[in-house]
Order: sequence, then structure tokens, then C-alpha cells
Amino acid sequence: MKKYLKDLEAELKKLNVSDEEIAEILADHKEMLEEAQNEGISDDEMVSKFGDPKNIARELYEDVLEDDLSQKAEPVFGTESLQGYELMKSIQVLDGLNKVNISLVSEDVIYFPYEGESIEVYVRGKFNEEEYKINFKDGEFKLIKSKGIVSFNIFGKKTPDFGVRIPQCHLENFKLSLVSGEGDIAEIDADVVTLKTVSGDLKVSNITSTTKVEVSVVSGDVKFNNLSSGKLEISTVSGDVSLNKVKLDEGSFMSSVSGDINANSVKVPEIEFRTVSGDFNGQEVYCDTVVLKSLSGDFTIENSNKDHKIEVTSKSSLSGKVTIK
Amino acid sequence: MNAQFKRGIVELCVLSELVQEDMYGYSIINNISEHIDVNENTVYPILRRLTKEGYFTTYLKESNIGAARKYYKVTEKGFRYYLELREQWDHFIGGVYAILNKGGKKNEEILKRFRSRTEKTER
Repeated sequence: MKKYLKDLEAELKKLNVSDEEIAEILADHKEMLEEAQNEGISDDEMVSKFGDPKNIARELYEDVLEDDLSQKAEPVFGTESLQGYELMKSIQVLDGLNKVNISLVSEDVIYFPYEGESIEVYVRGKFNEEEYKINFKDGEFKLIKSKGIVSFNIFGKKTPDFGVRIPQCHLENFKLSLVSGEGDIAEIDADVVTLKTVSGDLKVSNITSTTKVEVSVVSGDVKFNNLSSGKLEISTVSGDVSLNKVKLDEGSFMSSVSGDINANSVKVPEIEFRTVSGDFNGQEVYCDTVVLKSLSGDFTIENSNKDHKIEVTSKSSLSGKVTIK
Repeated sequence: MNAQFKRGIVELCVLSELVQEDMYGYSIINNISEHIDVNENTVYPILRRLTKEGYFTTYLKESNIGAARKYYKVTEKGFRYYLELREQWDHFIGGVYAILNKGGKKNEEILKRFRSRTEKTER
């Protein structure tokens, strides 16, 4: 019983529950445990009646967190506060956070770092904890929709939306994978950033990457605003990708079937663009060389600084127009 | 079962126990777990939350064995909440049964009807 109470206390402390409240919760449990002992129930019965101390703590967290939250202001994500979201999980980051992996299906997700010490996951709408893996282990934070779980949607629920805040830091890897949900992510500082979406739209702002940013999209639209990286690799089927204020040290590889790439204010040594019927529309795109393979897509760059020379080193275009002026 | 859904049902059960008489935590858990599969980690957070929301008050009472027990007592506000939940539940579960019992309660009857219907369409 002592161990049980100790474990419970430790878990509650992790959550910054007030001392007063911890004392109360522990006293209540001490009473109930003593009662059970007096009854002389077996250890097995004890476990089934009280459960794993860890689980109890988790169930209590939720309750305590809800109470806490009702007194707190809404969390601020970037410049907006999240209305209707509730704090579902808070994980104190003790050892270095260096990877983030978010993989969802139809849920929307908003992601921002902030000046705090915990990873915070907020949720809006019907949420069933069993359907998600949310943890922080070996420096990696994961928010993953478990595969193969058929949810029992008795009240015709829609999937929940997530808001995720992490302490500001430099990451090795940031991965985001969505199917039909929409993503709004910002302020990422990482070696490698990998973004995938099937039909959901993505809004990505203020990304600093030392190595590369990879984007793969089927039919969703992706908007980048303020990106600096070594390389940028874009692969799209029919979704449009727009780039605004992008600076790349090494180069950019873009492949598209019918999606367009719209670029505004881009600095990069080399652009390689392969497409079937997608267009590349560039304004203020300052690159030195262009490698182009197009079936019927057009390639256009319009710059105000006419002194900057752009060389098309390899061109193979069947019916697409190439205009650089 | 959907955790949120189960929580709502257990909340109604807790209220229902306490409108009968004042009880201490462990006896509430015992009474409820006799009938449905729940344990302390579902019941206790509900007790705590409903107390904070003013649906229950608590008082200590000496027991003949060991220390004093914390008893939970339903307030006027708690009782109104119980009535409200109870009505929602009756309405909901009544609706569910109306659907489930369409065409009879017995599985044999339902099977018979199912067979005769499918045979007709196959012909």
C-alpha cells in the first residue's frame, strides 16, 4: 500500500498538482485502501478493484487537468489562442527532445513551439484515448493514430483536432504525416523536416532547416511562408505548392504530375523541375541554373532585377513554354 | 467501450447510489463494481469532480474500525443534475431498445423473419 501511494504521489507531482490537492487525493486513497485491506480481499481482487497505480494516476490527471484548465487562459498558438481546445496531455521534457513524429489520418493539427518546459497536447471534439499513441521516449515525441482500431462511434463522432505545443528547441527530425486532415505548423527548427499529406492542406510558416525539407503531397495544397534550408524536395501529384520567401543554400528538386508550383521571392542556386502538365510560376526567383523536364507544363520566371542571369542547363520540354524574363 | 461513454454511465450510477444514501468512497466502488465492470480509477475521479462542481458535499464520520471515513452527500444541485441525467439516459436507452426490439425480442423470431425474407428475395 505504501508503494502504491508513493507511485501515485510521484505521478501527481509530475503534473504540477498543488501540494494541498495531492494531500487530499492521497488521504482519500489511503482510506479506501485501508478499507479494502480490512475487508481482507486478496491481492488479485485488490488489483482489479484499484487497477494499476499508473493507470489510476493517468485517469486522475485528466480530471485534475480539466480542473486546472478551467482556471487557465486559452493557450496561445502563434498569434491566435485556441478556442474550444482542452489540454489532454502534458509531458514534462526532462532529457533532450530531438525528434517529433506526428502521424494522423483525418484529424486537423496545429503545431507551435512555445516558451514552456512541457510538451502539451490539446484536443477539440470527441477524443478516444485508446485510438492514439501519445508519448515521449528516447528524445522522440510521438502523436500517432493507432492502426486497425475501429472506433465505436455511438454518438456519431467526428475525429478530434489536435493542438501541439513543444518547448522551443532545435530538433534532428520533424515528421508530419496526414491523410485528409489539415495542418498548420510553424516555427520549426530542425535538421530534417519531412511533411506528407494525401488530400489535406498544409500551411507551413517560419521553418529553419539545416539539411533539407521534404514535402510529399497527392492532392492537398501546401503553402510555405518563410523557409530557409539546405535543400527542398517537393513531390506532388495534383496538389499545388506555393512558396513565399524561401532561401535555399543547395538546391531544390520539384516533381509534379499536374500540380502547379507558385514561387515568390525565392533564392536558390539550382532548381530542378520535372512535370507532366503542372506549371512553375515564379516571381522574384533568383537561381543560377534550371534543370527542366516537362511534357506540357509551362515554366515561367519573372524577376525585377534583370541583371541576374539564369541559365537553363538542361531542357526537355515537349509543348510547355519556357519564359525567363 | 468508448471511454467517454462509459464515464457518463458510471457518473449516473454514482449519482444514483448517492441519492439513496450517503456513502463513503470504498462502498460506492464496491456497490457499483458488483454490477458493472468498473474500478476505482473510474469512480474516484468522478467523485472528486462532482464534489468540486458542488453536486456532492463531504463529511467525516467515525467508523468502528480504523480511521474516520469520508462520506459523500448529494446536494440539491446534485439531485437536480441526477434527474436531468436520468431523463437523458432513459430517453436514450429507451430509443436504443425500441430499435433493437423491432420485430420481437427473441433471436429465433428474428432469424425466422430474416430467413423468410431472404428466401423471398432469392426466388
